[in-house]
Amino acid sequence: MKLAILKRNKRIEIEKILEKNYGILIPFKYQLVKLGKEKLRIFTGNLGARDILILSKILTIDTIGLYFAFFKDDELRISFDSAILFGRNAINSVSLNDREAKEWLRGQDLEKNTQIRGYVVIKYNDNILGCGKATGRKILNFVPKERRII
Amino acid sequence: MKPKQLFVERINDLLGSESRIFFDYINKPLLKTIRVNNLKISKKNLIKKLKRKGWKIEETGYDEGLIIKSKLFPGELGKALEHRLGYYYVQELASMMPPLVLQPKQDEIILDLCAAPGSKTTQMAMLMKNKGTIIANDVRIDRLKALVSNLERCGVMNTLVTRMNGIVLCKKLTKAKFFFDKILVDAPCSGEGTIRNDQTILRSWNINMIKGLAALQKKLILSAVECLKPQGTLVYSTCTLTPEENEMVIDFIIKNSNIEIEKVEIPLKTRPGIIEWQGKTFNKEIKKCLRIWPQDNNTEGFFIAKLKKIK
Repeated sequence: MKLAILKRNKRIEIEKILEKNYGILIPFKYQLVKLGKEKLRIFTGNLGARDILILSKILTIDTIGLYFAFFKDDELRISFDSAILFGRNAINSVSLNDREAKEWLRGQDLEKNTQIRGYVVIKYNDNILGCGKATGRKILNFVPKERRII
Repeated sequence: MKPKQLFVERINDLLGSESRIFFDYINKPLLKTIRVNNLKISKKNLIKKLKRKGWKIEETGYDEGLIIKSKLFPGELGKALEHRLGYYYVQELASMMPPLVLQPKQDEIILDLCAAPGSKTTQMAMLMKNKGTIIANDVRIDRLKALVSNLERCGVMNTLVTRMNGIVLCKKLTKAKFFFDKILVDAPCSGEGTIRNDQTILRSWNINMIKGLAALQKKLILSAVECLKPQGTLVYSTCTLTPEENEMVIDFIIKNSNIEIEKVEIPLKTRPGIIEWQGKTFNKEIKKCLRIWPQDNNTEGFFIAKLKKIK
């Protein structure tokens, strides 16, 4: 598996987008690791970049850390679990009622008017149900299949 | 399902007249237990949410372990919203004990050699508050998928997942002079302790399988000790009750490497490791190992040994 640890300047760029789009600041030390073309993973372990690269040469590494976000064309879509872990005070969020939450957790897009366009954190009571993309009239669903409730 | 005659005889040898109680217990359903995942939620908040659903909750001797007393639909524990959001892990109480014995700390580097499906890895990440580093390994790709999925669900961020033969992995790490503060070898085993959860184990049980697994376990633990730092800790655990896969593995490692057994206490009733089996006697220190019998705590059966590398 090819992994690349993001350099400091690239990580700062991602942090700026994270703060601007979601209002999220991550309050601890971490590294961002790029897997494939667009997937970013967050690693909070105490291994340095050099150690990780050495290990990646001698071991068959399957994954590192947690799937953090999908990053393409300067758009950052945080993952289901990143939203749960970091999105409690997100600036762009949409709250769902019981019926909408049920549909959302089935993996369906929601017909819902919002004033927001772009990525939003989805809230239901005091739970966070991941991240969606609001288009004005709809919210596009990104709940991973294994987390849906059918 | 009726146990095989040899299995019955061996349990009689281990427990004597008490074996009747053991056989009563293996036919009883397991308690429904979960472990709070405080990487995502506090215990207080989770209990509040589950009670709101109408579930009856009972606490256990381990702070993060909870028993669900309500009657649930089959699969309901795994399909609940709170599970999907990673607020808890469905884990048997005895299986929560090996990480408690290992006590991983926030600045340590840990190897979880046979990690899938991840109950103990996620528990260790929780104990480490997502700091330090865990290398979580498993050899089987189908089990690795479950491991990765559980790590994601539980919000684990301090782990590096590898897919390798455990023995090869340890050799490569030792060669690269990469050593660990602590190692968990939750070894593949014959699963006698999990019969209450999976009665098919009674059908697949056979003595040759036990001999084969014991040989593998010895190789795994020997390789693991090699990549442990001096003064480092290794916890060896299985969910089986056969002396060949437990005390005899520990007796082997005492004879073949510089380790000593440490005494441990856990919040469950335990019995000491045995020092004699079928005419063979073992190192007396093996009494410090822990046997968890299903009938003692109404749990699964488990074996746990805590070892320290001397030099």
